[in-house]
Amino acid sequence: MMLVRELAQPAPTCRTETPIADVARLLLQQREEAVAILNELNEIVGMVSRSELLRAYAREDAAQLTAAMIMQTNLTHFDPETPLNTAIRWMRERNVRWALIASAPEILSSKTVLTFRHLLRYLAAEHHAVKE
Amino acid sequence: MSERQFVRDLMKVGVPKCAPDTPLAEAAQFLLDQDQESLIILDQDGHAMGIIGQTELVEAMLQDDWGSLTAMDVMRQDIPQVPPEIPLTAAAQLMADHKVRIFHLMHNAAGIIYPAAFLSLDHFLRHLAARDSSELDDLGIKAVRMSPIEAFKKRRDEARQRNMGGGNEK
Repeated sequence: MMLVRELAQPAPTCRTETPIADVARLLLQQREEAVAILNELNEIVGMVSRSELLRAYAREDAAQLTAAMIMQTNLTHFDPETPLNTAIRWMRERNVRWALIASAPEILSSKTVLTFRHLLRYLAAEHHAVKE
Repeated sequence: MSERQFVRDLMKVGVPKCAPDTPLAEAAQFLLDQDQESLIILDQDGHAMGIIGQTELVEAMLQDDWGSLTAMDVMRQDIPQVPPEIPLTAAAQLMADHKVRIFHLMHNAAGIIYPAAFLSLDHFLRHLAARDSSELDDLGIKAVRMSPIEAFKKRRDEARQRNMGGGNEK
């Protein structure tokens, strides 16, 4: 049984005051799904995914928005020992493409996420393993 | 943001496609390599049968037999579409409301319905992030496109690079 910790990776990070244009550029450059938003203590205070940026794009004040203004602050997380299928079902039911991975004591310091891209890499790697 | 107002200004002409019998792992590899959201599945006549994207691939991983599944097994038949003349902000709102990440512009030629162009969430992000319009030169229905021979050479060179990259592993 595959566990989420086997595929999860560190997320890129930025600050609460980062303009959303810079957040978009970061996600595009790193081909990532979501960025962890940190406060001055380097604690995670929210997440901004591509979905939040899409909704922000539609706003008239998009050019003035910062990460703090659009971030998700409801940081549901999965224990690293959670089965992969449980995390996939959770993401599909909520129509999200990332999940924060952390054990309970380290929720504020963890910047590790499981995203659709990590799952696709696993899917594609299995293909190569079969071919070889 | 640079001055682009309508869907047609940010659409990309030419759509990633695959055959119905494409293995899911191969589709996943293509989406990762090309940084794309989805593939349109075409039948032998070039008719669009459906769409397979990151969502369908991840959902398929919940099935025990996902290793033997093909694009046709997990595709969605409803291909999300958008008119090219509506404002980009309206299209972004539609995309968010419908919980999709790509829209297509479909053409009908002699009964064959095929995808001509697409607008993805990535295009919106690129528009949001662009410092000037030159960063978006490849987008929009008026964008300069490669000739068929240039496109062939590009695909050939990419295939050669992939083969060279995997050569040491075999």
